[in-house]
Amino acid sequence: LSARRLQRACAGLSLLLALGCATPAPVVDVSDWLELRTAGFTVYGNLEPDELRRLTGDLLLFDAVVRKVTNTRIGHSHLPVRLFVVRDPEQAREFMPHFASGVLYPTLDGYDSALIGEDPDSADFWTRHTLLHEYAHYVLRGDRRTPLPRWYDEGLSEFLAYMGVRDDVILIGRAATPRLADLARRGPMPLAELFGLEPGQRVDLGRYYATAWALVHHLNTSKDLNRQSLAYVRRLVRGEDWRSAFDASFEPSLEALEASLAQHIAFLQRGGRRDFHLARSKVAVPAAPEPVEVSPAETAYQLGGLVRRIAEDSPDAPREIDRARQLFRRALELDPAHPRAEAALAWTLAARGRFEEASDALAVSGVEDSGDPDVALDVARVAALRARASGDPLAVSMARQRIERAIGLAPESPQAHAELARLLAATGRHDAAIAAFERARELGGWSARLEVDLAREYLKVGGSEHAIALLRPVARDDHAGEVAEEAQRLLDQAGADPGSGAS
Amino acid sequence: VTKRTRTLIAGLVACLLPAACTTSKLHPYELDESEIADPALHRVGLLPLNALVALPPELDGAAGRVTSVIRAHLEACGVEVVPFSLSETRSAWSQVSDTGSQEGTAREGMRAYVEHLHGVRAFDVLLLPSLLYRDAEIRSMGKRARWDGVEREIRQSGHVNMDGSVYVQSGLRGKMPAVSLHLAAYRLDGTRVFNSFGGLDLVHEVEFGTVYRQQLNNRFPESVYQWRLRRKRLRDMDALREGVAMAFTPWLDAPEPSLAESATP
Repeated sequence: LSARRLQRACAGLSLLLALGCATPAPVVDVSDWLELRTAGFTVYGNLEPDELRRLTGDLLLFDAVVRKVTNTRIGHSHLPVRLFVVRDPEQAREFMPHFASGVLYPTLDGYDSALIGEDPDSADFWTRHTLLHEYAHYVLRGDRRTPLPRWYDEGLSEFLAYMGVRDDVILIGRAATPRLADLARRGPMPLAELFGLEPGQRVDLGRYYATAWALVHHLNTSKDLNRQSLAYVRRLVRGEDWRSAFDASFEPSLEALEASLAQHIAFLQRGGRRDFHLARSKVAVPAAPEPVEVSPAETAYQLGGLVRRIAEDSPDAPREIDRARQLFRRALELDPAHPRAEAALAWTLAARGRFEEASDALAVSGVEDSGDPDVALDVARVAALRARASGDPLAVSMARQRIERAIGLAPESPQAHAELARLLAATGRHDAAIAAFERARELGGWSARLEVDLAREYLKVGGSEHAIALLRPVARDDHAGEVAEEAQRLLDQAGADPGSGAS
Repeated sequence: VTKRTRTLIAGLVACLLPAACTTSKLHPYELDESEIADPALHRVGLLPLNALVALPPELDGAAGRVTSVIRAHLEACGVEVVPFSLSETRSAWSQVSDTGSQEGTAREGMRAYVEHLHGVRAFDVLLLPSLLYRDAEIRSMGKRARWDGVEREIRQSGHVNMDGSVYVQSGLRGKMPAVSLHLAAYRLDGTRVFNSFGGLDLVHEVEFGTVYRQQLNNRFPESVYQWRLRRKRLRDMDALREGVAMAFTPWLDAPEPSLAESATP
């Protein structure tokens, strides 16, 4: 190559690299979205209306069946449960990890799920399956303050999600052929590995899910094994070490359970069945509502809200917050008179330390004194962030007023009580902060961030037992990322015995 | 699960194994020869698909189509179809399992089961159809697959050569999963008179890709493939009709449709 050609080639290559690096994230299509609101949950999606209605009907049936066949005692959550079904897989992945086809985010403000609704033909199986799987996570979590062990959560959700309706019969616990195919190819994961998986540890996900499903399926085929497995899960939830919890719960040894699991898998792979059924007529299911069109601006706002809630516990919060801001800005471009988007946009600025811009945005839009509870909450959150950052007594006082106004408009808002708690904590009023955090916990869903913040307050007032009890499940929460690491650091500081069980 | 239930399930599962069948030139089957063109055969009790063995959940959507083709085939053979619902078959199964002798054989269990259903609605022979995965032999450089009397094209995605063949280091040969219709027919005394497989269609496509393996300081490309569930499964009605006819061969061969019939949409 001549020097000139080499130079040209390098220039071309760097242009290509620059273009590659500069490829923007796909712009989420906010047109043609629909909403189906039921008593227990809301489905948003950009699938065809019939398809979305059919999926919602399937979910209503699933909800009724799961509540009938499991020992879950909860009613519908008082918190919002929102499921976002995104047709385009690339766009859907803006709301979930790249390897997933669906995900459930339990947050302080409720439960959000995002999933791929790839195409109409797959909706009869994969989309429906993912929808049921993610919803099962929500039902299983219920009012639980601590997450279930991951293998159990995934295995049982998968077990339930293979529910099927054939003619006049509902079948539960069916053989999951795709999981059996995984097991045929790779074999089940050793149980010690399945139970002992540490948060953040790399794992072959296909094999992990298949083994978790097969184990839960196996444990559900015998009353004794089922009883023992529930005792095991209870011990794990309390934070006991898996090995000692296993020995204290199960009659068969780990090796014997592994051998019987292998037999069970072989039986299912030969076409055997161990499912059970319910008469379709015995399950009362409300009719799926008609889909209602959602304006593009409202869709952008709702999707921004989803990203913002994900950001609450995300290890990549700054990036998520910026993405949420893009969506709120989009909502405002589409509808300049969208006060909730104005206030949410201001929050994203304040959350990144851009307090002046946030205040200006609120002042210009004139939403500061809005009577809308969502707007009032965001206005309060902006003020609280600013006050905590500056420590200025006047700002603190102003923030306190804003928060109290938000609580006045929505007395059961967990986020408003959490904001109050954080403000009180920042001003050294630890006992009052604990009371406000506890109120937020009582009202809200699971938030690893809230648990850690509350634990920190307990540590400050000498309540290490309370703190350790809060931190242990977070440290073991596979989805909590950096918050889990933070929980572990606090546990170490508190001198918690890593092997011991319940406190 | 009682011992009797286990015996029954073991018997049923055993009958699904290809080793239990005669392998004809076209497809594997076993037939009591006296049953061919049996003039006493008027009514066939038809169980829902996979009444007693697991139906792969991803094939749920196809159950109605396959059942309608089976019914059409039986009716074309001049046989009256006596259908049973899934709840009837499940409830009969539970009752037979609960009340039978603990030491009964699979045949005794099946006789009790057939008799029980016969008490609900009369028939001459009880037919248990099931959709099952079978191994298909990959042929023609990875372009086609053959199993249970039929041959189908393998759908491909990813990197495919100009001539449609594929090159992967591990080689696309051997076997792939394919769906067949299994038929088992029982007389009132529990004797199995017919046991057969007919290939329906492929429900997976092969997806090719490249992975890079790190060896010391170098990365080497390696072609790989995986079986991916197709979005449209068991939708080709001609393929279903051919497979269903194959599964009934040689027990109940439907007469060839006349030109006028075959032209009907």
